[in-house]
Amino acid sequence: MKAKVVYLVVFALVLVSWAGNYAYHRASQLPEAGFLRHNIETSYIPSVAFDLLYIANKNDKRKLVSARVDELPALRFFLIQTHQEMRHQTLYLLRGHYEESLIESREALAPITIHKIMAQFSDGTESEEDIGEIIVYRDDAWPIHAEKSPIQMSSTSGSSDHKGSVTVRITRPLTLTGVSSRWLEKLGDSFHYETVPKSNRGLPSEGTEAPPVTVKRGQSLTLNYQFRIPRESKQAMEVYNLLLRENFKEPDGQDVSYTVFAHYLPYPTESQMRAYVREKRRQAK
Amino acid sequence: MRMNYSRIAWGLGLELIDFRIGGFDLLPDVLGYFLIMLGLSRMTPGHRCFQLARGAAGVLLVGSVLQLLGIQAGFSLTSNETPNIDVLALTGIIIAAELVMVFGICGGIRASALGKGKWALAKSARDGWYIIFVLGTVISLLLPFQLNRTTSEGIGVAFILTAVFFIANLWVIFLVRRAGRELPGRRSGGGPDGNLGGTIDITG
Repeated sequence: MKAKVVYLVVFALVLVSWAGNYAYHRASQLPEAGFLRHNIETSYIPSVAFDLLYIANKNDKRKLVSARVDELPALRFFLIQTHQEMRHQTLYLLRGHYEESLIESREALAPITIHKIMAQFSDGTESEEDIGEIIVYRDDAWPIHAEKSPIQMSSTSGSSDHKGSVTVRITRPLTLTGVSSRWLEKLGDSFHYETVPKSNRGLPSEGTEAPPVTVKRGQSLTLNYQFRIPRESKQAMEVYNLLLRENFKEPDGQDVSYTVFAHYLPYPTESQMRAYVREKRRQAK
Repeated sequence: MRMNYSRIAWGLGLELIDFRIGGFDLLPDVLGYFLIMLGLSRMTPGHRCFQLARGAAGVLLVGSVLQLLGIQAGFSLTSNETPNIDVLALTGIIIAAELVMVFGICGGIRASALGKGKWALAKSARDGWYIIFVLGTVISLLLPFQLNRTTSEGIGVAFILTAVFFIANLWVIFLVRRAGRELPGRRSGGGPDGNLGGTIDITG
């Protein structure tokens, strides 16, 4: 009799453990796989284009294999990679690039904005997926027939904590009038940058300066940037691709610019992922 | 009788130890469960426990055939995957069936030992079952947590439990071997010390 009670209690405990874990597992599933929200600036010239992050439940049988954007016929994606494995979801990375041979000759054109892309899946199906916002600049004629730029890249660095720095050397006297990007306003305090002019020897002689900054011939200018998106913010689960344009004016009044690439790819914690899944499940109801 | 115990012991050994070369199991579980069933089917009739163990071994035999056909039950502790519910449920069923089988074997040996006055063997059989039962309970309770964890997160606990479970199963194998030595068979002629069985053990 005593043994039977013990077996019954054990059986009940095991049953509770299985039921509880199964319920939690169900509640941790995304209602459907999809792309994160992207905020991307890109120039339609041969180069690395941008990264897309796709999130799916681990048990999903239908896998993303590639994607295409009809407005960007030269855009191709490398083989899909696993960006991050979580407990219940996997983040996949699609790295895009523009094939030089597929970019048609053009004069400067107005930018275009893309909100949806066509995703291709392992079962042979395709579906149009929300992507956020991709702004494609076409203000460079192709092939490029620009004069020799007075701004030359000197060094670049980046780190995993979403910060980086780019130093350029100035070959003609210029005045830095400002730094611009489509996403600066949206990011607000979550993105910090500073411009540091350096002496001819590369030492930071003048310290941080806000534009306008006059840069002499042979001097260097460093742009430091950092994404400071709070972990609890919804923005922390968004992808950012900024083309930070350092805008200069030559003494004769002509405008020149230099573009710095600043990327933010989320690496969510389990708790961020839980909040993301909760929000998606709430929206799906 | 001694040969039957020997078959069970060999069956348990084959089922417990996997030698794989290029993914091919040189000691397939199917053979192990078949030997266990064969041994149990020729045991002294009337022991409910042995019948129960035989039924569980039958379930496990079917499970191992399905695994040979490619159905996944069980998962690697060294991968970083989260096993899905189907794999985990099948693993859970196999563990439960293993527990029932060991319960039956230990229970049968204990009943036989008590009947023959082999108190030490009976105690050893009871202790073996207790250890396996506690371990099986802990594993069954923890297994579903794997639905919500990657394998690497519980790797320490999983390795310890697997190692202890392996040792406990070795205990059961030695128990069965001991039972084969100490419990005389039906046709043994009943020597005074019970060790003079009429059936010759050629697998010794």
